[in-house]
Amino acid sequence: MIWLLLLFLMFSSLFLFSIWPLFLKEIINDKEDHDLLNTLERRKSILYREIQYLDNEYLIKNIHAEDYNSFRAELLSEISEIIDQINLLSPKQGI
Amino acid sequence: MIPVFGSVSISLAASFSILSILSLLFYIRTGDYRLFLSGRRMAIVVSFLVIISTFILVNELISSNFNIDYVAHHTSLETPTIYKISALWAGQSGSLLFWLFILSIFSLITIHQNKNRYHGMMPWVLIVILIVQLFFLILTTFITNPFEATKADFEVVNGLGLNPLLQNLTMAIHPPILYLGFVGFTIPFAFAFAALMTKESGSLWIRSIRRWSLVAWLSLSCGIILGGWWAYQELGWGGYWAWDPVENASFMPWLTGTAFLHSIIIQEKKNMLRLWNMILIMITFILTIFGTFLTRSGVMSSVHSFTQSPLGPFFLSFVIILLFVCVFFVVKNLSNLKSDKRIESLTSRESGFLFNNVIFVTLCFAVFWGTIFPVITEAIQGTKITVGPPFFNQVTIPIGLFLLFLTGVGPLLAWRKTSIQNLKNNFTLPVIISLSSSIVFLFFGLRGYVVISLMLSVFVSISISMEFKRGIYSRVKRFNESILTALVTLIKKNRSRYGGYFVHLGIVLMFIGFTGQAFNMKKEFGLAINQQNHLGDVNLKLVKLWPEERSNHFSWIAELLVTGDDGNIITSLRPEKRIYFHLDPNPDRRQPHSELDIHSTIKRDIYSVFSSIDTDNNIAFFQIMINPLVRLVWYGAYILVFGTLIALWPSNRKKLLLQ
Repeated sequence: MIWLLLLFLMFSSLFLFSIWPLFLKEIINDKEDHDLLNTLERRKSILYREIQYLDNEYLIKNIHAEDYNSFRAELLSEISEIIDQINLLSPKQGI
Repeated sequence: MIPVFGSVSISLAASFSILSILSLLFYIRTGDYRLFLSGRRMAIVVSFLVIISTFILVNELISSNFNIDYVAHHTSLETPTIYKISALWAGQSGSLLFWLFILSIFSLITIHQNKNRYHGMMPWVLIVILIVQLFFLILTTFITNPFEATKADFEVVNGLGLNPLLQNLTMAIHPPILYLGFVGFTIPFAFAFAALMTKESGSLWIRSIRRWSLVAWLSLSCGIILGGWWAYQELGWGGYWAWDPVENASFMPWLTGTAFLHSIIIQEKKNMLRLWNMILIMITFILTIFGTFLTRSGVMSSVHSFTQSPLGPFFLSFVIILLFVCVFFVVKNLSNLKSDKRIESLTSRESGFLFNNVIFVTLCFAVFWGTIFPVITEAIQGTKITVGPPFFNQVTIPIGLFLLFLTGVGPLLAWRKTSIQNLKNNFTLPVIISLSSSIVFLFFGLRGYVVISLMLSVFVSISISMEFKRGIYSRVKRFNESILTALVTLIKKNRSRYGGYFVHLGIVLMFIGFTGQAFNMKKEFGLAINQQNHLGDVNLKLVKLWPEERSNHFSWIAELLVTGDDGNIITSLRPEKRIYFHLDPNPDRRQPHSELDIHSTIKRDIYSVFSSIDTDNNIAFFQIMINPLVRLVWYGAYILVFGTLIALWPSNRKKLLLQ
């Protein structure tokens, strides 16, 4: 009998735990803009790493100077575009 | 009462998973964030209930509750505790529950990791995980319930016990590790599907699953290697890979998973191959389910057993539904998956990666075809035509060698394009050294694939060493570091790249080990006490033979003195012939088993199997094998694990960015 009671208590508390958010006041989800910002930040960090990687490739003579300069310029231009977008988004979110 | 608790838990978990899926779908439709929070909590509850029921089953196994059918079938009072625990994955229903257990832990980790991230994708990620959980919950609740009561009208005082072949420490850890790999690919698949549904096809989802994919791949690799190790140590046929359907079932997702790990680098760096990566991870996941279908349905032993198996049709239906859903959504989102960039040159690292991917997928298709060929022929002609190791070896060896070649070429190519001057600079030394080495190999009488394999191993080793050398010397020159500091910093600054090179070195060692199979020797003979026989340059003398009674088996033990041609003692081997359940009054229940003994060195393994015994004349029969270079396969595996751990190790990104 005590087992049945324990079972009942446990499962009802799990059920309550699950449905509890439904009884809260409406929550406004403003997190999706953060997602976009996160995406841009991540892309920026990838590009920074790419530059570091490219510098290393150049250093170990795996790439020609001409190619190196043009690839680096492309990466820098992409980064600057991303920084612009981040700057546009950031004030909106008060960051 | 407690087993009922376990059974109720998995049934409730199934109900909660349906509620959670509905809640998350309504959130996607309405945008009411409370529904998402509730759905996420329900997903946590599902995992919690699965974990509880798994612990209950383990508890029942340890306490030998033979009122549960599963416990009575897979353990006995004599089974050591460790094997009572490993019995959880020894049978069908237990292993399905164990699968769910791992997925539930992964689900909890994913929820915790992404509590404040990927808000667009997370509902879909959870839905995918929950659907997979629901599928296994339906199986464990309605088809093969691990908590089912024993069907006997008398009290069961002892169980049947665990298969003796599974009473081995490697076998106790091999399935869980393999499962970690199989189940692990669910998370990257879930993120990929979520990315597809939310039209997030850039590199965001790739970054979120890179580590998951690596962990799953590492686990799958370790699981496969441990399986090979177990087969080599336990089965007594002298090999570690037999192209058995069950082995192939784990090898196929490994191949596509490896291709995926390579091609996501391109998507992350260049935002290319979006569609290809989506397809690869979907195939990898579907292959993990297909592999489970192959091993669990009994379809491979006979097409007829398929209809008898309750699980086969369910797994097959799930695979077909998954395929249909994936194809439908990929086609629907095709325009979103197209990359705006193209591969610029054939001599670029991107092309190298793409080639490598095509070869991996081709190899996977060859293995897939060979594996399902018996099923197809039996379905069409009514007679099963099995393709054995000769087919697989003939097809996979050249493809594997080409892959090995690409492993060496990759690091020598630059991104976007490699100039002719760079090609000359990078390729001259590895090509000259590998060609010279092939001449040496030919001079020593080696021929065919053996020479090609060894030559390519040299080529890859040189190309990787050159990469390390260039990196180290540039640091030494630029920062005036010592060679060791330069090496450590080089690896620390680009863990995934140099970790990957270590993995490649491990693969090279493994290939050399595989090549050793070309020189395997084997002989069978009987020996009385003090008699001897020889194989190659090794003499074996039976010096002692005695019986021994142990707790769960009876054993005949032979002591073989192994000497070289010069008379020097090499080692002493003690293979055993065991009879498990020897006290069982039913002779059909007694299980003979050969416990082999191996003398292992880098050069070769001396492998002894005690096949049988003529107790009337006191003659023991042995199967002796000499297997060269097998140790290199295991050493290669260690390096592979080491390299993957380097790639997995988190780097201090903030510090790197500051630099």
